[in-house]
Amino acid sequence: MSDKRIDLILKETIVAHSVHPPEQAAGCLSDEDMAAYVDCVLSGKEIGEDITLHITECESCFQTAASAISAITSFDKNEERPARDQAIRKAKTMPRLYPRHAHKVRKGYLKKNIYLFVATAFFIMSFISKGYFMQFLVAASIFGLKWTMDTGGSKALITIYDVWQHKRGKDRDTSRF
Amino acid sequence: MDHALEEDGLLRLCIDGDEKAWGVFVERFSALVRWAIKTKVSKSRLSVDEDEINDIFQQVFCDIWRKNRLRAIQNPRSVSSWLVIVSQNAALNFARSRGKTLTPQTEQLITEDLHTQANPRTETGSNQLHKTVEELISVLPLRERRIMTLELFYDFKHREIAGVMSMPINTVSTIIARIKHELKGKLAERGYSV
Repeated sequence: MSDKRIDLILKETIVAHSVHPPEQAAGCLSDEDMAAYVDCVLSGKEIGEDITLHITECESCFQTAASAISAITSFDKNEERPARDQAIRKAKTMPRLYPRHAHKVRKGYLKKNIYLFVATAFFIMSFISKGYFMQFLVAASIFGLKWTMDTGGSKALITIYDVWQHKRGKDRDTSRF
Repeated sequence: MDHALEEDGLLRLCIDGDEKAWGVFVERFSALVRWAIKTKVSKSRLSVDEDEINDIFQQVFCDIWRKNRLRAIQNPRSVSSWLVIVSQNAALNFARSRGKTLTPQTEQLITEDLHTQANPRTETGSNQLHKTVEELISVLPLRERRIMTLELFYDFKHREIAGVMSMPINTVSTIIARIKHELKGKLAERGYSV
């Protein structure tokens, strides 16, 4: 039996098994980890045994990696025409269709001032729960201080302190006379 | 180095929501994304037409922008690989969601075509040959089956297979040659020959 025929027979059998890759399972590599793996393979870098073992044993990850590597290595050689201009133009309009700025500002504002909100909540609680007035007040102070330190309000505090010290020093000087 | 720095800057601007940078990003990677989708569709024998490929193309960029997925990329050098993986997964998910998998009829035609090439002179006996080969392959260790898949289905060179399997090139070549030789011998034992 010729080698060519053996190849065709083998290919026939393997195609039938490889055409439908299974869906990703819980332990599969994320897209980012898979990209890092593919880069390592393409650049000839050493890959950890754990990763290689997973790629060998997991059907989904194996097919994903092989398919990606195949596409990347064949991309430079291909004479494929580029994406339609219309498709590119439409993809470029995403920022206008789905503006991100307001959402980003909202999220950023909440994250930045979380300690302020917590301090305010504790301050309000100190009036509601009279039995724990001092405890809630102390907690409010701690979180308030944390907020000022984190948001750059510490600069304002230091400036205020400097001015106060300076003023105190001036008052002392004038009182001498 | 410069190219990596440039891409790092471009990614950061896209993550920050810069519209111009996003336009540059789309222009730069549109051909690669489209190629990744087409190769996946072709390899997986999915019944997806040109308009649907464009739909998948749009979906990829829409998804990346809306979920700000570029934030997750740890190394700017791997953005091309990442885009290929994301695009191919999108193609597969698109096909699955629309029920566009390989139809049994198409599958039969493909295997028949390969079958005819492999067995130009036989008819009903070729089914038995197919079953015999399948039996022989199924008893191979997983690692060797993967090597054969990379060589025959993905058309990888031995060097590429060695990279994926983390083994020396000579070992890969030896394994492939041994499997083919053993298969030839076993088929000859069972009475199959040219």
